[in-house]
Amino acid sequence: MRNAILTITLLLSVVHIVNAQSKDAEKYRKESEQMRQTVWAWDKPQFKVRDIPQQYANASKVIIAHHTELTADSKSKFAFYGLGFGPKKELTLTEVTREMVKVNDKSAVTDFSEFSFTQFERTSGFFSTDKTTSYVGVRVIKPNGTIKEINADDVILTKDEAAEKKAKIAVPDLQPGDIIDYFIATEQNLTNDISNKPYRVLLFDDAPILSLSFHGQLGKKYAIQYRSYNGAPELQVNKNEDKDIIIDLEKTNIPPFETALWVAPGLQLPFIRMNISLGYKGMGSKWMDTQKPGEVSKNTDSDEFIDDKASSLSVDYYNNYWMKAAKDQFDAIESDAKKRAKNAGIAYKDLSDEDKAAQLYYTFRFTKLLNFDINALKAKIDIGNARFNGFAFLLFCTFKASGLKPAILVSPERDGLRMAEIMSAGDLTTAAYLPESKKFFTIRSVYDIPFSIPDNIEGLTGTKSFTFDHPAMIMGMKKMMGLTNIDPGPDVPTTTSDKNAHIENLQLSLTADKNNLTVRRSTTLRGFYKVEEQRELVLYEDLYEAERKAFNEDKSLLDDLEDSKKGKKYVDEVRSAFAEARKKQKDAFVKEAKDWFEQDVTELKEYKTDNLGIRHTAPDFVYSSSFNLSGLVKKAGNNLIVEIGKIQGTPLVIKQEQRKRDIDVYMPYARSIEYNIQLDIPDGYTAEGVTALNKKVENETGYFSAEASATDKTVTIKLKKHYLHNFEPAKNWDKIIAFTDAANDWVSAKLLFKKK
Amino acid sequence: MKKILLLSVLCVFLKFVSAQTSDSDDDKNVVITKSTQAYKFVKGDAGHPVQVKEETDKVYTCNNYRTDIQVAEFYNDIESVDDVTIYVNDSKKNGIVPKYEYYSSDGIFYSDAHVCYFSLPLLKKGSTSEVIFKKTTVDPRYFTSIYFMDEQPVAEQEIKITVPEWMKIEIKEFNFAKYNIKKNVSADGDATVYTYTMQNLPAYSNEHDAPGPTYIMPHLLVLCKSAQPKDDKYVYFNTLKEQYDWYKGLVVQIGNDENFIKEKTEEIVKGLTNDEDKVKKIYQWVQDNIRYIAFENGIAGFKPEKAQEVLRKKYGDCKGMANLLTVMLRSVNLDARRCWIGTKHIAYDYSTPSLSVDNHMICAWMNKGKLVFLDATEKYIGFGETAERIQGRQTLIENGNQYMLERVPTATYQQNTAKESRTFTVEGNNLKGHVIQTWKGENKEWLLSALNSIKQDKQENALKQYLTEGKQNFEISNLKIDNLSNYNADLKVEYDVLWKDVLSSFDKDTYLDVDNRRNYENFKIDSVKRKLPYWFDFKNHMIFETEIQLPAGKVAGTLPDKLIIKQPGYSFTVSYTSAPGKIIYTSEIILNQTELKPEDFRQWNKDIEQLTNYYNQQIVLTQKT
Repeated sequence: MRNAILTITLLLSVVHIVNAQSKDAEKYRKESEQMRQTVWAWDKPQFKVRDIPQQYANASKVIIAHHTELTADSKSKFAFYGLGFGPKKELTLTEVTREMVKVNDKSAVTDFSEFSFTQFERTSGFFSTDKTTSYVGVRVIKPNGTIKEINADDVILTKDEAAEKKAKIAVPDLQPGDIIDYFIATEQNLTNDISNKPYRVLLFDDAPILSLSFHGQLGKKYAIQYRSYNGAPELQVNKNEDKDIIIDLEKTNIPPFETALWVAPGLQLPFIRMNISLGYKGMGSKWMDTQKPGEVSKNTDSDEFIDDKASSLSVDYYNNYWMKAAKDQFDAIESDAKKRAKNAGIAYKDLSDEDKAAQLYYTFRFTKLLNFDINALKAKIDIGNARFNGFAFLLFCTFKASGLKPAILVSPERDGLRMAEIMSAGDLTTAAYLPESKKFFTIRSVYDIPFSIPDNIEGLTGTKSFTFDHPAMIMGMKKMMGLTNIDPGPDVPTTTSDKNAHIENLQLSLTADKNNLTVRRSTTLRGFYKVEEQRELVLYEDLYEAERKAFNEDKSLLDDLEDSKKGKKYVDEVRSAFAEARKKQKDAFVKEAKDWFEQDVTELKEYKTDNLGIRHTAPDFVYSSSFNLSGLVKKAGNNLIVEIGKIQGTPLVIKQEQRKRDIDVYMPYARSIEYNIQLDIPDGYTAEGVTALNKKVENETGYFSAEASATDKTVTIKLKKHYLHNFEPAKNWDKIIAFTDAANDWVSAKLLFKKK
Repeated sequence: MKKILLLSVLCVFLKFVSAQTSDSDDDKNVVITKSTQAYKFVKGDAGHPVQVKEETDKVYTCNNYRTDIQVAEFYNDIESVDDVTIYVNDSKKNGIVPKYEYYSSDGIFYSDAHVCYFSLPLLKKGSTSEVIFKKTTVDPRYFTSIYFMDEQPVAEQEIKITVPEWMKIEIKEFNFAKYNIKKNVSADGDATVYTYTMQNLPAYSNEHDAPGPTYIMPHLLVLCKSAQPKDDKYVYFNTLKEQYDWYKGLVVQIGNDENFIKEKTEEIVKGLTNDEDKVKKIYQWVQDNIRYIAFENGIAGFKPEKAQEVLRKKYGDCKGMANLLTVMLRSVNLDARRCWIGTKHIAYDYSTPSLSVDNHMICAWMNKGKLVFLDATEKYIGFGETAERIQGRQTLIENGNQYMLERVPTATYQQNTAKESRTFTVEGNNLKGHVIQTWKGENKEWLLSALNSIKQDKQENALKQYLTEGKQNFEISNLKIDNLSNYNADLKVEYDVLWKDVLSSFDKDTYLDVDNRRNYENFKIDSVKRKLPYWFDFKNHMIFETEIQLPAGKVAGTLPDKLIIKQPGYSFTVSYTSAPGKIIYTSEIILNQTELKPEDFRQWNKDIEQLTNYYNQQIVLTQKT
């Protein structure tokens, strides 16, 4: 099955409710047959098209027609729930997505060669059983018009259990030049489900689409919110005589969209979103994020979803902070932070708010994330690879418990959606910050540092800021869910290219046989360039020990274990596990060097991490090593050529097919790569061609510069490539190409060492 | 074809689950301190009169630090897992619930392979966990191998095979030489008991591009000959004839519709009169039109699908394709035979009749007494060309009630020649000229496979990207491609090149780096870490020639001496020659063997270093005096 289609269209979420009905294979087969007859009988002209426009004759595949039919019904029943009778609403959601595709080559045939799908799935809850049944139909239309439908016997089950059946189909007789016509139908039977079901229709694909359409019919008790994004056509939403909600969309001749480089789909590509739910108006509905039956809402005000987020955080606040027992954990962090400050000779009370916050942040990280646990030995050793959500709420609570005045920034991510266009609280991200100093705090990895702004919120404007009331008494749901104060949030600063830097300090000389370079390397990584290399090169033990020393604790982790009654029992195990991790560190250094320079690296020695870059007072990640690097030295008679340009590896190339661009450029962040090279001139040689190495291409988007000079002993080269912004308008695309091309051209740069 | 070596599947599976759980790859932390494997032939029921009961008991000990390991046991329609007992520190109350799932492996659309797996904790240093599996194989034909190695090192192991007097088997021992394995044969009543004991077996190496486990691991091949548990005698694979008869019996059951196939075949060969032309046409038709989709469930692992079904579905596995090709050729009166074959991955040949011997099926055309082997699963190889994986392999060929045993001819490296010829003139610091590249055999197949996996409207770009190696200063124009869809001819491309800034001028001299292909540059093998032989994909032959017209007034300085390295398995010859007004560079790499043994790694690395150093020499153009 084309996973893409599934991802795109089967977004009806599964919720756990009642239904207890099993189907035998024969029944399924009959239903399946019935579904196929119904779908193939659709009287839709777009599925009768067989001819492909000449402009797409060479396309790998052409989507002739793509149509989705969504129906939602509900009926009320009375049911016995064990403690008494109550109303029961049975829902049936049926979605059929049919697609007809001309497959023109072997690559396209491979795409559609096999389908796999979950035929039937049932999940049980306490009172409920959900049931999802899927049906698939596939037929191949040959160039002469004959239609060959897949035989039900060709479907094989790879899982055949009462609660779940998984199936596969290998599509017979599909060849280049054929049209594949297939559908996936999913029927969900739910009970008492008033949750929101997000639904998305994408109006772009890497293949041309001749016709894309959507038709929905929702029973009168349903409600819908919808919005079109980035130039997508308007959804037509009406009601029929029975007050059912009728939804329609049609778009024809959609050209292929293929650019994947630096695109923010939510801000740039056309699609439509819908929230469909069974309307509910009754007891508690105000607090249950429900819509009224029959309610149709176009371009729903984003405040509604911000309110949802506020309510949800209010509940978190009530449960995890307002309740005294819960708040104790944050008080304990403050108490611990104070002790640690004292131990390190810091007068905590004299610290500024932001320095207090930093002290709390480090304490939180050390005691909650880096803390050793023998029962999670492997997990602790691998903690560097863990990815966290930023811990906005927990950091907020930690700061608040310590008497600071923190807030939570709430906004869509930078490359997510526009604030005014959100359609769910889930569209919003959060970050803890101190409003007075505008200092941000997030923990997405154990390597993060206080005051660094995560790249996903850089440069945001129009944000919201959440704080929470803390009354002495809270009576009732309304109070509990209304604790959040929503205020305008801060404009978030953007880092400059020098703050996200990869800097190579290289001392190069020729090996004794003059075939390779000996490299003494010190690398400094800053900002967003750090974390991936920290994950590869930093050991948990070193991380723990660096923080332990920063807190001025005397004993190393191993000594501490050795001296404790419990720890003594397993300290040998910990020592062995740490030793094994350390043994692997050398391979990690070799791999990192090979990957960076794209040349063979041998004789690696003196490898070490010099500064872990995990404190705001020493934020750079610095590591060093020495090794031999191949591939840059060439012999030319008595002389030597050093292909110094290759020290860059392969810089980013804007490929031929990417050079025309009419959409804006969303890059991850402003950034820079620099090389400071000292190349020894071997005895008995002179260096030639130094002046020719100088080059500079600079414009408003960034620059590449090479500055070279020489003495009798040494050639000095400084290379700099800076992308100045994280965003450029489309009109600046050629300027980005100009300096990235210059960096690529410099790959050919060479020096001559001429025998005297 | 079925019969994946379960051990190699297990390697992949364990690697997969290990990666998921970030488990240690240190093979000394957890050791199997005691392992017993007991196999016993027993009398079964009417449907399965002879069965094999298996009980394996492994005690895992944690040497250094606590961890979890992944334990997996495979089963299928013939082999069942009857019981699993798990002890963690001697306690059965450990909450571990084994999972039983369909096992999906790459390249196989559907099979009956299932896996029983779970994560086994070792609670602390010195603690033990134990796993006992009980299994039954209901048909002795499928009980073929017993492997001695495991994911972990084994300190002590005993393997016992109990063979009642009514059961006739033969045991073949493989790869015992490096290990101290003792064998004892004793009697237990009427039964013969074969006992193998061993100590300190290392964990198996899971290295890429290495020979299959049958070449490396100590193991037993169990040849089940016959049985007479009661009155009736059951003959399994007493000799190869019985194995052939069993295969042939499955072929008879296929039910090919020859008339239906004939109609299609005649349409394909319409107008052709020469037999070889017909075979070529039919072979390529099957290569082009039948997708490889493997079904290996139950008997479908051995019995080919009906030819008309494969033709209808336009897909099949190796058996389905070989059978279709055979029936198609026969339908136009060509003498075609189905051939069973074990690919190079398997160490055995048919001197040991067993279902473990083969894993593949091809077709042979008997052309006036000479066999031409046709493997339709090789999608882009030409008629008369054979893939490395079947070259030299013994094949069991249909021949009525008898069979023929032949070896697939071994091709020379010249089958796979890839040649690139360039002619350039110098324009400033650039070279400008014309390039012709051709690929044969498996080099051609590799490139065509890559190209055909790319969308057709992106193919030219992808090919340019490949030819330029992504370098912007190597500009290609006027690209012409020949024989993209004729696999019986060389794949050929021609193009013009503007190679910018390849010359460097310093003072009055110009320096030139001629070879940007640098085939096998730095292709060193880690002689410290690697323990197993290195297998190249196929024998290779790469020729790279460049002729450069020198600009008026320039002459080449002293050219590097010719490099000639000749070893039994390979040779590297690289040279510059000077002619009036031009220089000619030629590089020829020959791999005439595909295996590099560990003892040869050092020499190989030395030779590769010499080759790399040769590539690192530039030529100097100076002013004529």
